[in-house]
Amino acid sequence: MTDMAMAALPIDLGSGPFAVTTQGLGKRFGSVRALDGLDLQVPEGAVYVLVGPNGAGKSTLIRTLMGLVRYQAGTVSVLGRDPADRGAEVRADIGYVPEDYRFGYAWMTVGRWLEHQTVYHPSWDAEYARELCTRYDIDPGRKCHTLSKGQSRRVQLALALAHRPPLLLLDEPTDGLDHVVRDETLSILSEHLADSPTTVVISTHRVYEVEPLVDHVGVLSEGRLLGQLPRDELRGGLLRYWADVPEGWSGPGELGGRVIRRSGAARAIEWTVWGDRDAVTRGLSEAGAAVREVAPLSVDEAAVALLSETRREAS
Amino acid sequence: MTDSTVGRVPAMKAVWMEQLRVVGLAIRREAALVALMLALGSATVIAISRLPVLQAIFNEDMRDLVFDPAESPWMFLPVLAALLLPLVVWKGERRFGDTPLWSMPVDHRRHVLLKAAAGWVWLMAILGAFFVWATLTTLVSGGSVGVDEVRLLLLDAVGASAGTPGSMESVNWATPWWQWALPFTSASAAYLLASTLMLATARPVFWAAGLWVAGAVVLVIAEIRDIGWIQRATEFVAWYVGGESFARGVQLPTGREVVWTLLPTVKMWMALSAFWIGLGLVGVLAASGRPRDQ
Repeated sequence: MTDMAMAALPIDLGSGPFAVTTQGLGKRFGSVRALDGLDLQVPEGAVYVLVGPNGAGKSTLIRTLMGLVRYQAGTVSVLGRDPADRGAEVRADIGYVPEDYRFGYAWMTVGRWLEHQTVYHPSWDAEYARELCTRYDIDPGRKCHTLSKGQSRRVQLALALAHRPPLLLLDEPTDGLDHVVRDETLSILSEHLADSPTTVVISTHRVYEVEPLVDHVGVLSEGRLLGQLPRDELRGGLLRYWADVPEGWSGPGELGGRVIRRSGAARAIEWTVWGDRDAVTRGLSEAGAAVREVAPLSVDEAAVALLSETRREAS
Repeated sequence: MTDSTVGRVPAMKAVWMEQLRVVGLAIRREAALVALMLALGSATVIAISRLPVLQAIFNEDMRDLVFDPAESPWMFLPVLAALLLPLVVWKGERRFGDTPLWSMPVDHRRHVLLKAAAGWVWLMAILGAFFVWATLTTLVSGGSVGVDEVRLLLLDAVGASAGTPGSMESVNWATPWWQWALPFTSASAAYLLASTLMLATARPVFWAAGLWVAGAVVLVIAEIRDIGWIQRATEFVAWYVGGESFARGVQLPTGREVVWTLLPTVKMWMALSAFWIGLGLVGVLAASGRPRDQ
């Protein structure tokens, strides 16, 4: 890949302020390059979703921000601190839902694990924790190892929120949740964001599940960011064009944008293009296409389109 | 962000107390099992000591029972417990990758050391309780606590067999004070070394078995090739964990007697304790800083 695709989407989100930044972040596991010169910028107060295929480096990135993975190149700043040097302070300000749904000690009860958390988080809000447990229907008497994946996820979400951290790092937070609990989670997160000034980084394959919350998007592939931008900018710049074209139409010479995906029939095309809407429409019209409709993509559709393009170019 | 939200890490005292509680919870089932077995042991010993019928059946007189802290099983059992304890202390903690311990807002190395130290405190407490139990059981059964005897110290093995005067020396031996501390230091060393394996390796039992086999091979080679210093060093190691290294049966002109090739001293205990506990501490300190990302 990926230089062409990277050129298609912006990477720089401006001058901040940022809750999280990385510059040239690199991490290898043996010969595998997990993160490769990654420049992340998460604005303060943003709900930033990281999308990418399996093995893109999303979980490694989140664990690096937590100070659980030692990076080998670049710089990292989480709430103004480097997790490699001040990991304890960084983790104190993070609510973390790991990819692994197992939590606590298998032999411990959920209630005792909650009690354990109160020691480690001086800002623990006991009343809020009780409310979250009620809303998530968490039984404190259950042993940790007896919980299902979805039940474990609910406990992990409650634990992440209950000390009202300024930063939430959520790795596949809706994994294992049924539809009802997923909707409840979105409600809880919305209310939490309204009550507490929080920056959220979500890594997920199921962007559609968290899409209502998201205001920034980062697309990650093979340890590199293909782009990061505000959701509105993505919706305004990455559009799907439906157009009727004459028989044997060969396409425009200059389009004023980058075609991410081409599909459609012989005389009706459906293109996904990153670029200025007017310029692209004009380019298509000048080439003889009659543009019928232009529509924005959902974040999920945009992610699929961008990642498909990346995979196509790589192959 | 406001200043009040920046890096509010927990107080170390609070973390320490919590680790003590959590390790206590982690080991409580195993500790209860051991306590039950000890209680059954006590009941059996006391019953035999009080009921002539049982004395006749078991052919035992509990007045012969001696609780000497420096001898097996009183030494060996604490050391064995200390070797196994890290498996229980770290129960449920994956130690590598994402684990509950690493995700907490505490410096990783400090957190590891606090948990290991909490395990050691519990070990000492359990050992103390074990010794109180052994003392009470021995006394109630009519046995004696500590030894007070004359030991034959071997000065010249060949001369002793031939009955040469001066080849042996009679020494009055009463359990010295430091032998009451010996099980605690031996168990501490064993716990630290086992904790080192636990923290440094993903498969500690596998490594322990490998080290044991390697040690056995070295001993066999030392025996075959008659490498004296290895055999001698092994005796010291064995003594430190409760083996009867320096006592052996020897055929004398007067009959077969137990003689001692060496009577342990306080300096010997201190030197061995400093070596093994020092080695264990260095091991735990080094292992606690091992990268955990996988």
